[in-house]
Order: sequence, then structure tokens, then C-alpha cells
Amino acid sequence: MYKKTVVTLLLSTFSMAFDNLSLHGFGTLGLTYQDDENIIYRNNWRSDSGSSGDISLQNDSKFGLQLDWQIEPSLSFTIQGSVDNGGANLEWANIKYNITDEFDVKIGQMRFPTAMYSDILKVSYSYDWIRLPEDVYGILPLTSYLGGEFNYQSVYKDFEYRFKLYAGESKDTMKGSVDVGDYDIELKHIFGLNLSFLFDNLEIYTGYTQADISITNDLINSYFDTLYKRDDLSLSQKNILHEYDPRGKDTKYISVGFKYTYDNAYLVGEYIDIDMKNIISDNYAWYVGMGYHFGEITPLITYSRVTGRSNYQTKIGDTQIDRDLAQMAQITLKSQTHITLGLRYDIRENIALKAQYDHIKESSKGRGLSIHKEIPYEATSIDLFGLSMDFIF
Amino acid sequence: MRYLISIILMSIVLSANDINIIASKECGFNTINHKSIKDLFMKKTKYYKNTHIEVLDNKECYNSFIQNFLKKTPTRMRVYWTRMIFTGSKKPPKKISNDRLKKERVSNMCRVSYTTLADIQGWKVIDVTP
Repeated sequence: MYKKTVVTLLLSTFSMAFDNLSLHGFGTLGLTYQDDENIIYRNNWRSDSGSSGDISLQNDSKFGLQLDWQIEPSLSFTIQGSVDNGGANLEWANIKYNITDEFDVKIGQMRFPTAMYSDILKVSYSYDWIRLPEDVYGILPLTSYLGGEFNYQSVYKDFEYRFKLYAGESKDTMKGSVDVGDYDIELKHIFGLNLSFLFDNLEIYTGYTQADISITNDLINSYFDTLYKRDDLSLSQKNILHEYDPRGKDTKYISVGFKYTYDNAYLVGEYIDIDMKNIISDNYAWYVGMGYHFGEITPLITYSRVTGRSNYQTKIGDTQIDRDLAQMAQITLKSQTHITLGLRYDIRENIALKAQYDHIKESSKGRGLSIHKEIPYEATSIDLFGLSMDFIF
Repeated sequence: MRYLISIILMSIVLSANDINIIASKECGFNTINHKSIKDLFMKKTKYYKNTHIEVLDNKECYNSFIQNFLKKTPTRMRVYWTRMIFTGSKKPPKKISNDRLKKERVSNMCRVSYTTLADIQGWKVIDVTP
């Protein structure tokens, strides 16, 4: 009798705990092909593997799991991890407290809400492309941060609005081009806010982020540290050099986006401007796309572009150093245009098949987002074919 | 032939008139408008006429309900909830059967759901206004 009571109590406790737990998953099985062996097309800054004259499973394939624990009605915990060609990644790990139904606070690891779809970047099922337009999302290397955020959302008549205020820090290691190598990016004192509106069929997103950014690797560190120690450089030369130093400088991200839905058709677009206060070039990018839902089939077309602005303005007055700085500015200046044609087919509940063709044209004014195995190289065009199966559960 | 039958079956969608919006007896209102139904079932708000509401989806007429009242296809609705779930924002309403609806009235909270049945004990049918 005693044992039976204990077992019943344990089972009911477990059941109650289980009722408050939910497990969800997402994934993509993707094939990507581009025919140029001298280029690596990758979809992730944390990886230097992708399609290079062959069919790649690594480019778009990924898998993620999310566990939600409703601790009490106003308190919940979410943890989400994923695996892709950049390795394992902790996407979310935060505690959320609902102060009211409209206002909540999150503390822990969160996705970086820098652009309209940043919070759902890896869950490909939630958008119609195989991958989000790389010209905008590919210039945002850090995807999550550790800190806190305040969210407010409300509905007033036909007008829905959301407001997010966040702060924290972020750090990751990126795979660079063959002449730069791996490097660390660290963002400190991140402060950002987002404001989104939904009016009838029009959704508008605006975002602003500022932070102190440090981009470092052995090459950068030794280059600048050695120059600071040189006696033949004057104080004014060193001051100019300090302004170009990519360690601990201000950065600002400004982004706007919209999605307009009319019946089964939609028009979507985003613009992002990344302002750097060092030798790393500013980059700004935009895309505009449209799609139409013919029942379970959605064809889409997107045009996107990334353009860079060099921050190398004032010369040091030393031929070799000026040449090096000009080269650093040029390496980080992005410039390419991109046309995407895609088709999504929701074959079953929770499963979507996608086919996509991308034509990327690099510009001689800067570098594309793909990795070239040999430097220097001539700007070229990349034709990319992709097939994928997205699923959620 | 099987393909043809499945297409015919898929094309049979209940109209808005075939679905009754129901509220538990604790709810102090007898009418609700289309916009509020949409906001409540997409969890954009939890309130209607200053009353805190819990919504329940009915799995027996879910597709017809979202097409008629939320003006979404099942696929678009799944995409919407996918984004909400994987950003830790919201969870979709609990989806239950007509039988379960009869047993759901355990709390004194105002609950709103829908059904194709004319009457479910313990629930009242409320009028839908434009």
C-alpha cells in the first residue's frame, strides 16, 4: 500500500513536471552545388567548408532541439541548441519572466535581433527561401548574445506593435579568407532596440544596435602592437593608427524591414547598414523579394545587394603602412549582387521541400561573401543550386 | 481514383456558419467580433472586454476554423507558430476534441473555443459580429 502510494505520488509528480515541459525540434537536410572549384560557397561564418565544385551536404543541413519548461505561469525557461557545419551552437538559454501579459523580461542567451528574421535564422521551415538572403544576413557574423532583454507587445484596434530593448555581450571565432585566417569577434556593451508594427497586412521592422567591437587575431594584434612600439612614427601618426585599430571601437547597426501581404502574394524587403569606426569597411545591404502561395506551392524571387564603404581616409604618411591599411580596408569591403529564384512545396504537415537557384555576381570594387582559395582573384559569377527538406516537430 | 477522392475530400471545407464560437459560462459576454477572435487565437492578446481569456483549439474542425476566422491556410498557420515557438515567444493554444471540451471546464477562468456541435454542456454559443 505504502509502495503503491509512493509510486502514484512519483508518477503524478513526474506527470506534472512533464506537463510543464515541451520538446520541439527543427532541421534541414540540404544539398548545395556550385561548379567553381576555386571558390568555397559557405552559409556560415563559423565554417570554411561548403560547396566547392561539388555537391555539399554541409552547407544548408542543420538540426536543432528546443526544450521549454514552464516553471510557473509567469516564469519559463527555454534552451535551444543546434548543429550545423559551424559545429554545435547554443542558440537560446534564457529565463523569461512575464511581468504582465504584455511585458516580459528575458535573461540569458538570446538570438541577436539585428534584422527582421535574425531570431529565426536557422529554422528554415519558417521562411520560404532555403537560406535567408546572405547579402543581409551574411554580413552579420554574431548571431546570439548573453545579456537581458525587455519586451513589450500590445494590440490597439488594428494596430499591433512590439518593442524590444536589449543589452549584453557576444563573442565568437570566425573563419576568414585565406589571407586573413581565423579571427575572433567580440562585442561588449551591446545596447539595442527594436520596434515592430503590424497594421493589417503590413509588417514593419526597425532595429538599432550599438556596441564596442574588437576584431582580433595574431596577425592583427602583432601588426598594430609592433607599429605602436616603433620610434620612427610620430605621436600624430600613432593617433591615426589608433583610430584604424579594430580593437575596442564603436560599431552601429541600423536596419529596417517590411513585409506586405496581399491575398496570397507577399512583398518583403530589408535594409541594413553596419557602421564601423576602424579600418574595417562599413557595409550596407538590402534585398527585395516577392512570393505567391499557390496552395502548398510557393514560388519566389529575390534581388539583393551588398556594398561597402572604405573607412581608410587619412593616410599615415608611411608608404608601407598606408599600403597595408588600404589592403585591410579593401579585404573587408563587401560588394556583390544576387538573384534568387526559389520554390517551396509543403509536401506534408511539418515538412517543406525547397528548390533554389542563386546567381551571385561579385564586384571588382570589393570582395564577395564566398571564400576564394587563391588570392588575388578576379571577381567572378557564382551559380548555386540547392535542394532541401525542412522539418519541424 | 484514390487521389481524386482525396482531392474532393480536401476541397470540402466547412463554412463559418457551420462553426459555433463557444465560451465557458464564466465569460461575461455573449458576442465577439472577428478581429478579436483572430487576435485571441493567434495569441496577440489574452483579453477581450477586460476579461482574461484562455483559448482552446478544436482539433475536429481546426482547419476550417483558421481558414474562415483567421483567414490563414494550415501551412501559413504552422509557419506562424513555428516562429513563435522557436523564438520562445508564444505557444499555440491547446488543441482538444469535442469530448475533451465537455470536460475542460474545471477552472473558473473564461475560456473561448469553437465547435461544429450545436451545443456543448457547460459552454454557451456566442454571436460573432463583423
